[in-house]
Amino acid sequence: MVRVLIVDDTQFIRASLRLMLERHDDIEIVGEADTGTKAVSMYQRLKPDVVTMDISMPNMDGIEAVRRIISADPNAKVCMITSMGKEQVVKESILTGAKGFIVKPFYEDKVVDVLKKLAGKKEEKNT
Amino acid sequence: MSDNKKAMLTDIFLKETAQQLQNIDKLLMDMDHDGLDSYHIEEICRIVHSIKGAANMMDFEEISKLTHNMEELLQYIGSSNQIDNSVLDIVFQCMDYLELLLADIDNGNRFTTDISPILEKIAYIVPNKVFKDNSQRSNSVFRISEYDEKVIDDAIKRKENVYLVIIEFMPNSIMKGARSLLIINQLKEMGHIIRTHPDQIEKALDNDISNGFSLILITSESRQAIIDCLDYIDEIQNITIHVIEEDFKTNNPYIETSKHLSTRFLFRQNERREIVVAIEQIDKIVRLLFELTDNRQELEQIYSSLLTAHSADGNMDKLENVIQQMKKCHQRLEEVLMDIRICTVENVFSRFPRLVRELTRRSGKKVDFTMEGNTIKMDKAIIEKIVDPIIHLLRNAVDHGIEPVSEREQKGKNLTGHIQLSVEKNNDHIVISVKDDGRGINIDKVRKAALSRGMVTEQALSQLNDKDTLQMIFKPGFSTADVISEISGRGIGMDVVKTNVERLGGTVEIETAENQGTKISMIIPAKYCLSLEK
Repeated sequence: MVRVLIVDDTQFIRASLRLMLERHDDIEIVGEADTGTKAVSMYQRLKPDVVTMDISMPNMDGIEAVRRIISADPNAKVCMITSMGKEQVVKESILTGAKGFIVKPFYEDKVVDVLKKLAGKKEEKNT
Repeated sequence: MSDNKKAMLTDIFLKETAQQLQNIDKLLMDMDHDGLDSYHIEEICRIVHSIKGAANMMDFEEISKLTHNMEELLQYIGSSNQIDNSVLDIVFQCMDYLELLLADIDNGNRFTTDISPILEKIAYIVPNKVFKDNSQRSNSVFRISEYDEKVIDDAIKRKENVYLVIIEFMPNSIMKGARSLLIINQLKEMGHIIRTHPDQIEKALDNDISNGFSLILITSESRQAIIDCLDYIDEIQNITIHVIEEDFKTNNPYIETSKHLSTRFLFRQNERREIVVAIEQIDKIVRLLFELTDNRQELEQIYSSLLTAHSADGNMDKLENVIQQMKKCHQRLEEVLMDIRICTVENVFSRFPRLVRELTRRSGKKVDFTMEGNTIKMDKAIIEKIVDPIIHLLRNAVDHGIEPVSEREQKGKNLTGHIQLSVEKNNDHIVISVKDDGRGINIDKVRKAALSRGMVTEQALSQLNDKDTLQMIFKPGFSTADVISEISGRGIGMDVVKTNVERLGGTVEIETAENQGTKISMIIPAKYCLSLEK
C-alpha cells in the first residue's frame, strides 16, 4: 500500500490528484494539506510513503516545506508538482532533497507510475 | 476523464477561480491606489499561473491562452521601470474577459467569448520573444583530461568498476536539466563521478541538453545495481553502460583524452564549503557597514527630533523598533565580519620554533626559545604583515644577540641563551616583542657610529636621549656589516622591520642593557576592522 500525502494550495489540484489516485487499490491518500506549514506537521503525524508537493505556495513555498520535512526525516520521499518554465526551481528543490517531480498538466498513468516507483525506491535497495 | 469527474472538477474550478479572481482584484485595487510594486505583481502572477495550470488540465484552451498572455504581460510590467496607467488598464480588461470565459463554462462548456481583441492589445505591449535555436547536438566522443586518465587508472588498479554510463531521454522529455540532476544525485550515492559530457551537466537546463548525456562513474556496484537505482526516474529511454577496461587509453572508441581539458571536480560529498576571498573585498564590506551605521545614526537623530511633536503617533513606536532592529543587525554584521578577519596568531606562529631551532643549529650556539600569547587573536591582514619582521628579529637575536657558548661562560651566564617571542594585547595596542638575554646594545657605540657615518651632528646628538639614540639603529646606514660588528647589536634588515611596522600604523621600541640582553617591541594599534595600508 502506497500512502500519499497531497500538498497543494489549489483545491483544484488536490481534487484532481485525489480523483486520479483513489481508483487504485494499492494507493491510499492519507491526507491533504493546503499550506507548507500544515504539510510539515501532517508529515510528522501521518508518516506517508510519498508526498506530492506544490512548488509555489503563498507564505511557505514548496522548497521550504521540503527543507523542513527532509531535516526531520532525511529519508522522506517528496515529489514536486510543477508547471512548465520552473526548471530552475525544480532543480533547487532537488538539491534541497526532493526525489522526483511531475510536470503539469499531468496524466493519471504518469502520476501513478511516478509515485509508485518513488515509494518503491528504498525498498528495492534494501532487499 | 469521465463526465462525472469532469463535472465535479469543473465545479471546483469555477468556484476556486472565481475566488482567485477576487483576490487579484483586490491586489489590483491596491496597486491602483498605491502604485505598482513588485510584491503585488508577483502575487498576481502566481495566482494567474495557478489558474492557467488548472485550465490546462481541464482543456479550457481559451482560459489557458489568456492567462498565459497575462503572465507575460505581468512579467513585462514587473521588469519595466516605467509603466503608465494604460497598461494597468489592460490588466483590468483581461480580468473582464476572464469573467466572461468563466460564465461561458458555467453556461455549458462552449466558449463564445472572443478573446482576440485583448490578445492583440497584449501583443502590442509585450516585446517579441527571441526564438531560441535548440538544435544543439552533443559530441559523441567523451573527452577526458589527463588527470581523469590517472584517476581511472588508479581505480582499475584498486579493482573498482569504471563505467561509461550513457543516458538517453525519451524524445519529448521535458525538464531534462532537472531530470539529469536527479540522475546525477542517484549515481553519486553509488560511487564517484569523474566527469560528465556535456560538461557540468548538473548546471544544465532543458535547452542545454539535446537527447541525453553521459558520464564516467567509479563504483564497486554492479551494472544492474546502477540500472536499478535509476529505475524510478521517469522519461529515460535507454541506459547504456560500457565497462572501461585497462586498455581504455588505446582501445576504447568512446573515450578520448584531451590535453586541453582542465581538471574539474564535480561536487564531492564532503566538500569543505569554503571560498577564498580577497581581504580588499572584506574591507569594502566593512566600509559600507560604517556608512550604513552613519545613516542609521542620522535616522536616530531625526527620530529624536520628531519625537516631541509626534509622540502620540503610533508610527513613532514602529520607527523606534525598526531602528533597534537595525542596530542589532549592524552588531551581528560586525561580529560576522570580525570573525572572518580575525584568527589566532597560533597558526602563523607555529612555524617559529622550528625556524629558531634551525638558525641555532647553524650558528653553533645554544638557545632556548619560548613563545607567549599564542591564543591572542588578530586581524589576519595584520598577522600576515608582521611575520616577516618577526623572522628578522628572531634571526638577529640568534645571530647577533646571543653570544657563543664560550663567551657566555666567560661572562658567567647560563650557557644556553634564551629568546622569547611574546604577544600582548591591551585596549589600544598589540605588542609583539622579541627578547633575548644576550649581548645587549652599547649605546655609546651607537653614538660613535652615528657620528662617524655622518648621520647626525654632535650638537643634535647631545639632544638625543638614550631611547631616541637607539632608534637610529633603524636608519638604513646602520644595516651594514661593519657597523654591526661595531655596535654588536642588531644586523641587516632593521630598517625593513621599522618600515613594515610603520605601514601598519605602529612603532618599534628598543630596550637594552649591555651584556644583559635586548628587547625589541613592535607596537601596533589594534584596529581590527580595517587593514591599514598607508
